[in-house]
Amino acid sequence: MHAATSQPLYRRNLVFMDPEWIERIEAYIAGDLTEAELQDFARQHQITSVEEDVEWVRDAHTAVAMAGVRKQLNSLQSSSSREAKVRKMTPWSRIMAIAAGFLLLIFFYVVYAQMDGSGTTYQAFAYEDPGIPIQMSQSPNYRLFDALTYYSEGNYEETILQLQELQMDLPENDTLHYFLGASLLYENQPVAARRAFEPVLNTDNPRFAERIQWLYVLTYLRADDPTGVQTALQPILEQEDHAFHERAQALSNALE
Amino acid sequence: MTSTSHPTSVTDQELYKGITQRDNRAFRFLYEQYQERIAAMVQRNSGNAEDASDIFQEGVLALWTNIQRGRFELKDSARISTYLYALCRNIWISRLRRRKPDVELRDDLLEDDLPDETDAMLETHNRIQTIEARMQDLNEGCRNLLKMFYHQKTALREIAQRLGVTEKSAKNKKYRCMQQLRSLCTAAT
Repeated sequence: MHAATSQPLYRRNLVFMDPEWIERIEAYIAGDLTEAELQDFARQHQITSVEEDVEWVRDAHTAVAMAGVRKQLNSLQSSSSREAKVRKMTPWSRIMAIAAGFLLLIFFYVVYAQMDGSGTTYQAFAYEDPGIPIQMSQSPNYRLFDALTYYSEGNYEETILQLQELQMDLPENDTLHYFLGASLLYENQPVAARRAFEPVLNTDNPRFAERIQWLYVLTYLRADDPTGVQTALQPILEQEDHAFHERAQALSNALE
Repeated sequence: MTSTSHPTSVTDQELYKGITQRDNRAFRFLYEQYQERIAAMVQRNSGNAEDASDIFQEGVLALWTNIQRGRFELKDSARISTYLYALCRNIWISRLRRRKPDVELRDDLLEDDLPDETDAMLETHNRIQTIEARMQDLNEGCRNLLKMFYHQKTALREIAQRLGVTEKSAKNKKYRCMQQLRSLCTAAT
């Protein structure tokens, strides 16, 4: 560092910031310079915007690091896209794909229109659990009952908030997982719904087991993932006395 | 964070620590748990999938900047997810109003039971975002140098070696780059 002089280091028009002043500020931020020493330097060089300059240097450090975090997030997102195996197609194959897609669309429209006259596949197979607030085996907490009341009122957004809050306290609670998954599905968040259902897919509570399996199928249907739908349908198709067996059979036929 | 690559449940404390350390598992957890909800909010309110993705990323960055700057502390009364939602919502309102000044916002977008600190957190983030944008106007050498110093935390000696200069010269160059950045920021305001 240079010895302090009585000359102003720079014009105080906020455009110019002398490297030596930046160095002092960084030393202060790093704890290598006390506030009194920084103020002393500022006084000697007629710098009046100490607080503002310190704040700017802190902001600049964060901004540089933020650019790095932004890149990190971009690559996280693009790796997710790669996992989805999205391929870039040539113009000709793109035209063929669009044409094939269009034909499939017509085909499915005709199939579903014949089936029950309603619109999308999801609507055709939708099942909305009425949500009678029954507490399952691990539900000692009244807050869960509150959340289920929101659920039974159809306020799925609030239900999600309440249940997510509770999740930390009751990580193993099967009732919570079930109603959280159902609410997320009804709020059109199928991936999160699937994650909520997964820990209780093999629950030994028969009242919920069949519903969970069907709602799990619907998460794939909602996400337009026919391969996932077929896989999730298998356990239902294998049990002829399953409450959703007929629907599962109809959906499987529709997808073939 | 736990050692699994796809944690299904983490505490806010673990998440906070993970975000502070720029741990990919923490960021991935945020995406997996909350992106759909934010996307649903944006798409219910005149946005498309691309808007939703942008807004979520900006919300995560706003959360990170405020944690980084000590402007966000964990509380019992509100969870990280609540703040993330509030940040994304406010970023979307602001962007929507810039895009369509006369847009009518839905009631769910105007609910006011979100944390009071959100506006201050966004102000900090916007200020930092402006500096980040101005960095693009620096020459590539300066951008890389600042990145090595402040993001990768590379040792001065190593930076000097990579640049083929003395440590003193590398340090001076860094300060000159900071000076240029400050000038660019001031000129832009």
